Amino acid sequence: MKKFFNSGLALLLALSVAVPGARAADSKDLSLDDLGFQADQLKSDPAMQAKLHKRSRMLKTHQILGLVTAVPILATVMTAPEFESANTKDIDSEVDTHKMLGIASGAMYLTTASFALAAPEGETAGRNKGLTKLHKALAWIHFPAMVAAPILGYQAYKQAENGESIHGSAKYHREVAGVAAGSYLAAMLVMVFNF
Amino acid sequence: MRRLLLLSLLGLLSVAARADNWVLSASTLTYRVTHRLHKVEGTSHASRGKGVCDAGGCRFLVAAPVNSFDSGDTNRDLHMIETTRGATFPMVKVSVHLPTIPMGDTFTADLDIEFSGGKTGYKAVPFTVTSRADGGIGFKGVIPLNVDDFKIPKPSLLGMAIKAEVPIDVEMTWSER
Repeated sequence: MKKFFNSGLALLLALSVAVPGARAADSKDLSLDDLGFQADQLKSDPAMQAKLHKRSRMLKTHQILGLVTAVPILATVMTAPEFESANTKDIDSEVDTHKMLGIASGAMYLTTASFALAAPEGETAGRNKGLTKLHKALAWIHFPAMVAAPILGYQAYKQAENGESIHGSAKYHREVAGVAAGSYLAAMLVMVFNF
Repeated sequence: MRRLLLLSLLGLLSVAARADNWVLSASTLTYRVTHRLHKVEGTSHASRGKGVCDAGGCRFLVAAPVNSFDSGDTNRDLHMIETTRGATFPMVKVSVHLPTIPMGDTFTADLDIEFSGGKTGYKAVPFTVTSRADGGIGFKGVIPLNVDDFKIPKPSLLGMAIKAEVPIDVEMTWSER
């Protein structure tokens, strides 16, 4: 009988310990290791943090320069001379202003773009979504337009200087510049309301 | 007879010493950022959690990777990770200690949150039980998280910073294992 009780006692104690998931009342606190995350998800990555910090700083500069660049771009559009209706003296003055503003716009535009292009990608590289995707897509419109507009403007200027009517691709300078300015402002507004 | 009593007592003790394990089976965490010009939400379904109830009460731990929150915009999500130092401290951890599994329709819990290298407690956060299907428990509530508590710099737009209050909507379903 004594043996029976001792065996029963031993079995009961063994069962209480062997129940899967059972823990003693004084068990340790839970830790992240108990949750089944992969090791790389738990790993601190200071190098990535530094990269993200650099990325944020560069994009902040891109954002500020982008807002500032909008001013000469708008001024360039507003100072576009009317070759057909003005006299030569007025045109020269207007062209000088327009040209200088155009050069300033181009230089600032390229500087602004360089900060975005040189900013390190995050871990979602190549997987853009949301308004960031639209912002980047608009660059495929305003970048070629910003390159083409001054070239066409120069051609138009030369044709006017030679007393010719504006012809060929140069006659689209105004439209191309308008597209450049419009898509640039759209890209800017998208990000202003999407920080 | 004495042996029988001893046996019964040991049996009871062994039952009392056993622990119930709980596992987080589904969850939705949504942060809400408010700025004067717009509002932003980011959601994560990637949290994991475990709970142990024993004679000492119930201890729960829930954690979610900071980079699992999706606001619908890549740039914003990366900026959020950078601002909250999410690469250096990749997890947001919530620890809860309850006397028992809640039995009523509502309950409150004291939460200890580790986030962005800081740790803060939020007392008596109210939750509402939404289901008790299959022996599990589902509930929802709002954690009144404040970024100032974790020394997180507030992002700004046009010179205006976001509100420091970034409430986290919580919806969870736990199952007993």
